[in-house]
Amino acid sequence: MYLLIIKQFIRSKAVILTTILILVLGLISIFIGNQFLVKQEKAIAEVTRHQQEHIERNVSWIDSDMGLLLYYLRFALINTPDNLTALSIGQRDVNSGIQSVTIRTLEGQKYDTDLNNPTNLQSGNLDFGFVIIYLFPLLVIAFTYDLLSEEKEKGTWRLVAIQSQSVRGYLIKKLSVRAALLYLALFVLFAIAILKLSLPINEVLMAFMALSILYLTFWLALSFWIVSLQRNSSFNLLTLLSLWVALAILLPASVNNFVANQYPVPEALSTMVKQRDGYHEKWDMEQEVTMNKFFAHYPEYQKYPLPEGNFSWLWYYAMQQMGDDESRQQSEAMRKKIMQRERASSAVALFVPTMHTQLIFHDLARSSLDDHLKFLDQTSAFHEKMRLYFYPKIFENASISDVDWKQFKPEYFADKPDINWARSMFPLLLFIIGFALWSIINLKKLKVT
Amino acid sequence: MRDLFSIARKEIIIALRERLVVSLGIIILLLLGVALYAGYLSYSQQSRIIAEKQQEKRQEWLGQGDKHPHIAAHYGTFVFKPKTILSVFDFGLDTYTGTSIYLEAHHQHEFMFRPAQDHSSMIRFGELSAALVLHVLLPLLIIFLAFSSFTKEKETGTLKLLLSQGVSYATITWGKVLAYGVALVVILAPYIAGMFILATFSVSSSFIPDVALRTILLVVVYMLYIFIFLSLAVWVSLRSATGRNALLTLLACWIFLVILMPKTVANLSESFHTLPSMRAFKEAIQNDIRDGVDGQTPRSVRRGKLEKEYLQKYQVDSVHQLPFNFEGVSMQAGEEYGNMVYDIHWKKLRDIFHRQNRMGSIASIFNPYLAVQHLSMALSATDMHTAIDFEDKVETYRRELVRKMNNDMAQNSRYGEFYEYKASIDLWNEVEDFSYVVPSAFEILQYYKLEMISIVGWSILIILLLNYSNRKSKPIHG
Repeated sequence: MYLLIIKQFIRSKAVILTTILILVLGLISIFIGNQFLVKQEKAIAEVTRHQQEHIERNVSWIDSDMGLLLYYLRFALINTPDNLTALSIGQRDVNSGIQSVTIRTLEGQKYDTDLNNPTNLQSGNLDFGFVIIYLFPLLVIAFTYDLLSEEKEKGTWRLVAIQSQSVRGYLIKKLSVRAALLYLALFVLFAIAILKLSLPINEVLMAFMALSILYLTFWLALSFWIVSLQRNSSFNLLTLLSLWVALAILLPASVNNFVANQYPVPEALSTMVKQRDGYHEKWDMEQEVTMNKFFAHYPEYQKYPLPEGNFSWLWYYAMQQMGDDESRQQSEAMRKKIMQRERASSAVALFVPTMHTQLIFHDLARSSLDDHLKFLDQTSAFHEKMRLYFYPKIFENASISDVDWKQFKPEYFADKPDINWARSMFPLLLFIIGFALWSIINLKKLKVT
Repeated sequence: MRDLFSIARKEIIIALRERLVVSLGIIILLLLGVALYAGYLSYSQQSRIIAEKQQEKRQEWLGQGDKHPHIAAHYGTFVFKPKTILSVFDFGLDTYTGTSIYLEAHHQHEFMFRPAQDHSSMIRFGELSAALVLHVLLPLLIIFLAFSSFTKEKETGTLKLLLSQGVSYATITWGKVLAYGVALVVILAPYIAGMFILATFSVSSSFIPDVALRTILLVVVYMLYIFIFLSLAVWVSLRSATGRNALLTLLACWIFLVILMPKTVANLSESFHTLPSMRAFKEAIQNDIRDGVDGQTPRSVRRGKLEKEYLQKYQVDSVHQLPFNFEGVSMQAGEEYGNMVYDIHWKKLRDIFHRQNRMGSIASIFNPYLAVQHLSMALSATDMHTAIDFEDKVETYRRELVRKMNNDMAQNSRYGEFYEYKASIDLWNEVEDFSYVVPSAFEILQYYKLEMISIVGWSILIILLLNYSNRKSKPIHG
């Protein structure tokens, strides 16, 4: 019986064609992921080389003025991408994974982005995540929408009904053959991805694969449910495609609008403005005003007397510090708003499998907003560390040759994604079980004639 | 002619009986409403914030007190990208282009705060705009409406009946196209009317003066788009044996044209023409400013040359004897050198952008969806070229601002004094507030010739195809 079903299924030209198409697109997506990794590696190599040259050059030029030297020096912090990031690039193109900061005001530096063509950002990456989330469901629909109606329309249904013990069993067998081919295609692509991108086999990858399988199963269950309504082929196709459009395009897009309008972020602009004012207006004030605030923040530096005259580095860096100190409130408010958006999105996503899968993919691949926020926090910590290391040296105007400049290599940040198996898998499982049961009930009333 | 209308009437009646079609029509209506409302919300929110901040910045610039012009040039000011009223309709690239820029001496800062940065990664699903509803969903409605237009008549045998009564294929075909066209226009009418009202009454937005013209052009573009998809659907139905085949063919076309091709083209253009990283870009600029564009004239040499030039010109032995502050002149010269270097590198970068976008334009010849997407953004002033124009004008403004500061310093202060000299509000007032007017629709459309050729070409092609098939189809067929 199985053999016959398989034969009949793969004899169809459309099936072979669409399967080849998805394999090709899968390969392209893996290639694009690989390109992303290569570009990242190149950028990291570049920044490492640049930092070394940059420090050497400046140290050789500015040999006695520590304050001036640190005005120029930049230190890099790199958010190392996992190889898995290549499968689901997410926000990694919008948000830069490399921060290169001076010890001056941080707020003016930390939101810098890389060069991008906005047109291409808008289209988004054709990564493997896209193939799974958008294209595999289309294949599921193409393979299953006429599971039952085809037989009815061709007039073979009665024959089948007479010859098999259980028509429901027959349908499930038919479905399982189609499902098997889909899973096979998915596995082949994963295997290629693992080899090509040298993905480490670990829990994160397992979670990614498990989620992909569940997502595919969700669409199979949904499709089977439509089939179980026993309508004609055109109805099934139209309905399934409408569902696809709703789940993959309309709902996520509407949620985005809603979240954006519900939680506007005017703080993004005010942080920018405030940090500039916090620093710049100090030029017009008495030096003492700035110094008092600075010493209140860092009492340990009170031991450095403010040099006489119009300008000193102590005063200058204290002014720079004020840019950060006085925009802290706005900066924190902005972060809170962004977190609210993230939380609202992921709460809604629990009910929309496409969105849920996308978000978890990004979490696992460390290309989510959450990961970037952690990177920004790490950037602040890194910046503070460099600041505190150099402040005393500047204030004492320490000898530049006494510092071991070779030690300042780019530092790396790599957050481990924490996998919440229950939260990741449960919503999809629930949908699958629901639709499967509903289908079985529908098929109880299966009419043969 | 009477046949044409009675066929059209019959089609509409039948379409209204289809529950799926009617419900999809209603859904599209609702979505359009929601999308426009959401677009309007974010437009008014953004505009308010931007207008407020811009005003605030202006006040701050004027009220910065007395200070040295060079410090003022570093104090600088901010410019915020205004939202156009038409962005209510098509958000375009606004989510991915920066919204604010800090203007300062010596540096060309980048545009910061692309709205996409403040979103969870979900933003990559896109946003619901009226344009999205029209160019993504409307073709689907058309397909649902028209896929069975001929196949059903074939399957039920009514086609033969019609033909035997002497009605020609051409009459039936155009009757159907007319019917669906009318149905869609009725669905869209409130919005078209709304847009016209908007266009005529909202002349208040001063930086986009030709809203009315743009709106009319938008309506024309979308009408052609609807016509192309409609005729295509009827044509496929005419050529297909069964409704299922027609539906499969049309849906495959839709997926290819609307989902797969745009993304693939964008990704390929990125692979063919790779952008440098921001770091490499800035490093190259810094290197050229430091060592000179030819690599042999470092800053000190350039300054020396300038000094000699001026000493000769004014026949004096030292810069102290010049009738103006040489520091200001030198600073302006340095600024201009930096601008020149920046322009060279910026042009290179722009060329890569253009080459990438060029691939999209070429692809649009084969894909009316891409053509309409590009034209829609262009007419809504949310496209790449408008963004570039804005950036250019901001940079010109920055240069003017810095030039005024340097000139003042040269004219009114003495060499070697820095903290002693202070300029006042009179100088700040000389720098006019930044105001932006988008290029006219015709200027922008210059960049979109291929796209315009595409939609006109497709319209003609589809008419020819329909006429050809009408003549070729035998009455006994089916």
